[in-house]
Amino acid sequence: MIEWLRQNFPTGINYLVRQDDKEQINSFLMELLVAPFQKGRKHNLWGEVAERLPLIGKKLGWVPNKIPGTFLTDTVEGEIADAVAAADSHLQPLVSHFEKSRNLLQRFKLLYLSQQHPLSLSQGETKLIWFLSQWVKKPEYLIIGHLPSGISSQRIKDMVNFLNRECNSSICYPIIILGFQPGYTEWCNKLISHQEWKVVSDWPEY
Amino acid sequence: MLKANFHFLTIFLIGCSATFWAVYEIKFIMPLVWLIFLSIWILFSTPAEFKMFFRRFAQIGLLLLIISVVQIIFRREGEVMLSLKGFPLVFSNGFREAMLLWIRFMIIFELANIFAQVSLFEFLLFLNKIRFSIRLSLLLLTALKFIPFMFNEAKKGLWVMRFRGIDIRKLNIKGKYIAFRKLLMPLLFRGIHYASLSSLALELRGYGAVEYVKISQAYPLKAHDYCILTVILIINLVGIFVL
Repeated sequence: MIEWLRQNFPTGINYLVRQDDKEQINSFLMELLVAPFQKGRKHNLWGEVAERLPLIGKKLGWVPNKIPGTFLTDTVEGEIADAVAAADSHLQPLVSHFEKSRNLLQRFKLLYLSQQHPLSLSQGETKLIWFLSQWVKKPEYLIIGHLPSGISSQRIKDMVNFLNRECNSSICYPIIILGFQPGYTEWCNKLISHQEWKVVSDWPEY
Repeated sequence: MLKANFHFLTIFLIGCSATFWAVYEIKFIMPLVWLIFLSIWILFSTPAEFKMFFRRFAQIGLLLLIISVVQIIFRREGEVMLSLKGFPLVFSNGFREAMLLWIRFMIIFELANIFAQVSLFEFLLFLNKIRFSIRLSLLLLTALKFIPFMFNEAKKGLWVMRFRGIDIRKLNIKGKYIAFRKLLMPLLFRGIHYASLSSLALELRGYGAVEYVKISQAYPLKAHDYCILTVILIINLVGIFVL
């Protein structure tokens, strides 16, 4: 899958992909990454994808509108710290991972959520925390199915600013692939004005 | 024929009979008869599941094989069935216990498979018709619904862990323990959350206010149920009086 992404979305630029409906990219990834877990029993209890998922997960971040998994810790900062630790091949987060987590939350103006239980968050907050937990994985590709879904206009602005800021700085590690729907492009105009973004007319066939 | 929707009582009596013979019988024949009966039942009712059943059973097959071998080697009672240069290797009791172990486990798995096909509403209907209190019925149903819920939650947690790049199979024992603990905590939290929400929903709907609520839908035994019940009766009588 990563090879396929590399072929269709070469490095050095970020992408805005036109999609017919806001779930097109998410449905594609859901079918590819999550569905085999729900119904796959081909080779063992979890199916074939389970074999490759940790490898794919290291290189791919994905932010769907509705998260397919669950949160593993009991605080927001713990959840992000856990993702940072996993990226550093640690099973349990260290103090430094918590510091990184708090820094990131602060940068995103979400520090007030740090001690809340992730399951008590609103839909938009959940999506943002999931986004951050994917961001800190430092994946090769970060796919955001449809950024504005489920989050307020202020949060959309914050996310767009965050992406712009990160992509303009030297610490931008993933290639970001964002889905957009024609007619609902207000939020991405600010992104398009940047030269790092390339508009792709269709999501390629797998 | 087995495509027909069987009454819960029929399935319940099959379960009771098979369990009784599997647990108390010390000879092969009756547990084996019930194993064949259940296998035919699954084969005709859900053939696709039969294949799946064997695949799942194979996952504990190695463990059973080891226990069987231990039984055969160390249970040195009964008649000698196999000897090597005068040294007795396999005794009849050890061999019988090893075989019964396999049969019992297969019966448990097959019964679990058959009961899993019964809809929760039919189960509720059955409990209602035998005048089970609504509170206990719903408690049982909630407990049953809890199993797939927990299973799904565990799958979600496992998915997240793997999508973060953690390959549990490659971890050492300590790592596996940490991963398991990580998986268990949200599972417990979600479980308690789910249980409290379910109980709140039931209370708000008025369940628990009265001891018994009559569900008006009829739930009679049909001709095919009587056929199966007759077969169950015959097998049990033959087991008790003939074999």
